[in-house]
Amino acid sequence: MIDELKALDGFRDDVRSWCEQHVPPGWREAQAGADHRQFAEFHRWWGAELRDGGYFAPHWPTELGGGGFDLLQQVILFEELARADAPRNSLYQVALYNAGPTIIHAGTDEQKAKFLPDIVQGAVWCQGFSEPNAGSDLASIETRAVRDGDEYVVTGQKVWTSMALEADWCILLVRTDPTAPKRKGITYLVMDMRSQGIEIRPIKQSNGQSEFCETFLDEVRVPVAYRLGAENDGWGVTNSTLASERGVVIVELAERLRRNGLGAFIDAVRTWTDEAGRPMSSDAGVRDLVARRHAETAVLRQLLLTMVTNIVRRGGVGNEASIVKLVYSELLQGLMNDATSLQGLSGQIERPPVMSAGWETGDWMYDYLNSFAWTIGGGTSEIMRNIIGERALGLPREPGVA
Amino acid sequence: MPALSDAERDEFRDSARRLLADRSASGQVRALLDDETGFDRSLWSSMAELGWFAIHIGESHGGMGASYGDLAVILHELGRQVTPAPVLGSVLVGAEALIRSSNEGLAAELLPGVASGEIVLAAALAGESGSHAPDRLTVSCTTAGPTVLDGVARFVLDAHVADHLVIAAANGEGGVTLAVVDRSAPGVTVEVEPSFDRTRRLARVTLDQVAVDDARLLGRPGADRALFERLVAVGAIGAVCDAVGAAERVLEIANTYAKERFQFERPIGSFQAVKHHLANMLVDVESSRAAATIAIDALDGGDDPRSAAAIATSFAGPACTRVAHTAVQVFGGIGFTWEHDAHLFLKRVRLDEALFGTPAWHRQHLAAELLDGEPSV
Repeated sequence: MIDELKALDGFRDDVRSWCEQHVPPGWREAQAGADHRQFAEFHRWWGAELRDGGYFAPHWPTELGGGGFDLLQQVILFEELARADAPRNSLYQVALYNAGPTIIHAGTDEQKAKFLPDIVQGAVWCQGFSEPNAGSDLASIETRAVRDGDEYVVTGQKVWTSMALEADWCILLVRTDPTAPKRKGITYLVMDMRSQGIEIRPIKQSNGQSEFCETFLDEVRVPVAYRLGAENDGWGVTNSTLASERGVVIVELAERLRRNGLGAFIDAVRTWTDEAGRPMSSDAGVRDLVARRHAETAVLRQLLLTMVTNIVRRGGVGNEASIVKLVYSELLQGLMNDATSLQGLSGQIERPPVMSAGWETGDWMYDYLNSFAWTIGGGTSEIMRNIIGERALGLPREPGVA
Repeated sequence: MPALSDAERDEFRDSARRLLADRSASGQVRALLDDETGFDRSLWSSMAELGWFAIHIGESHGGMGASYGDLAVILHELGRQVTPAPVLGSVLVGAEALIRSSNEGLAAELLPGVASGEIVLAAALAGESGSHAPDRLTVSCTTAGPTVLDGVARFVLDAHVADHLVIAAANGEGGVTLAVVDRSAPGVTVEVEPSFDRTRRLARVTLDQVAVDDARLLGRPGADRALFERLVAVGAIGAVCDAVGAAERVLEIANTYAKERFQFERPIGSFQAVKHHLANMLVDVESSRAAATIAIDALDGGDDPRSAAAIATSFAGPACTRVAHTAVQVFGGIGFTWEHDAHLFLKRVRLDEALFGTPAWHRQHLAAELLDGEPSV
């Protein structure tokens, strides 16, 4: 694996020099306390920079306007973006890693032609999957879609729709057959966010931010032509999306956690003092903790390299994606928890959060609160353990769960 | 050293697994637990014939000249079957001492025998307290004139079946001398101590004023501290490979059991309380495998393996113990019995965790690197 990465040193040099020229110095300071509009504006600008550099959709084939990078090149790209402390390309995550791959996988030629070029040009997408009564049990969604000629009429409520205020399009799960078993009556639609009947209400999160929204749908009309896959086959289409959600994205996140999370933690421990005024770095318990997190971070990185190696050499990803999602989430949260605990009272003073810095803003308590997005979102850690138990180990499902 | 290809390695793994399933099954392992030496010489010969001991030893010394990663496959398989055989102490750590020694003559004399299985080595790297810190070794050596070793080494893996012992001795001035001593030499006493893991034996080696010819020293007297630390690191990496194999297998057995054992009219593995135990065990096994890979890659990459060994053993030692520990809990009452194999795995991984330095000690090394030098970025 190491050899294969080394063979791409030239590519790495290209990315590195691009980063040196394009990552704006001081962006963290500028994004401290940024409001929603400033955040979105900055991301649209950064997305355009990445697009000009050819790094906006690295995983897509060139004929679709992507970078055409293979998996190893993507690994290197993400390592270098993290190394340069570039802003995350957060505004476009659903478009690039959820909607896009699903359309490529399940869309008709007409749908691909309609949606994919827009994605590469910077359309923002959001995801309307979860509902107030359908969290971990996603298949129990109640939002109804009733066919009316060549349109569906959609009514219901979605929750945790990230970036909904900015979004142009929404990937949406709806119930089309309420009489069928719950996984058999779901359909996957693409909804224009400018349609009549959509009301968006930001959710104020525990960290004070409003990245996520509630989305109320009142007789929203969605063309049948915007249906992905067959009617009532949305569950199968969804699973392909969730799988891609947990794939290569984690490579970037893990690299940022290593540099900006663990690295900042070590730097902090080197400067903090304990209550007696002694350097915290001389405390045996703290030293043990730092070493533990260092080892865990190294292990996560190797788990990802192994996953990528298996894809490259053996042609497929198995159940590693669920494992790395769980390991990443718990390490992220554990690190933020440790740092918050060590920092003591001074960590309890709130500062304007650094937007666009992803999961490592450098403010430990803020990042700790935010880390629940990972242990709960995209499948809770408990659901991940069910998936690992049932898919990787072949254990029987809980009785009564169809 | 060129590694085997992926396909060759898979083939190697399959043949090792077949041999050990046949010759190191539970009943055969259990028979050796009560045996005085606990060493199946006929199985040892079969392993030798398959070339297992020659893998990473250089071709000029009768080996295949392949990689540590290839030998790791064997260590993993031995762990899977909790096989009693002194591969870790002899073929990994013992041979390493000779491979890295500046004493060409000694390497040329002994390595071909190690590679063919005719010579078994053991390495005495811990003091009476079990510490691997150079200043806590309790075998002393003279600082001037002819080398004389005196004192006690404990926890020497499988020394009772070894022909030669690699002895680490402190010279009292911070230096370490590494010497090769015949187990049957006058003044050398090897006593097996009772230990929980009976698939390997731990010996107390007493040296009573044992004179060592210069030709039996691995380097210059007192100048072997770096090699000594490398041997501890390499041993720790080997113990991780063994533990990952044992953890992987006990998970398989526990997983099968969770599907077959019915309580409340359903398989216990359908309960989330049990399912999540097993999922955590798989996460620990896969993470420990990754930890082992970090360390093996460092060895094969020619890097100083100490940091990677500290990462691997401090992570995978406790993680593999957690797997075997949780397996006992999944088995329930039967897992608490001598009759069931669960305890064989639990004892094996607990010894692996402690064998070449505790996880906390290895973390101390990591912390020193991370916190005491100049900032790395």
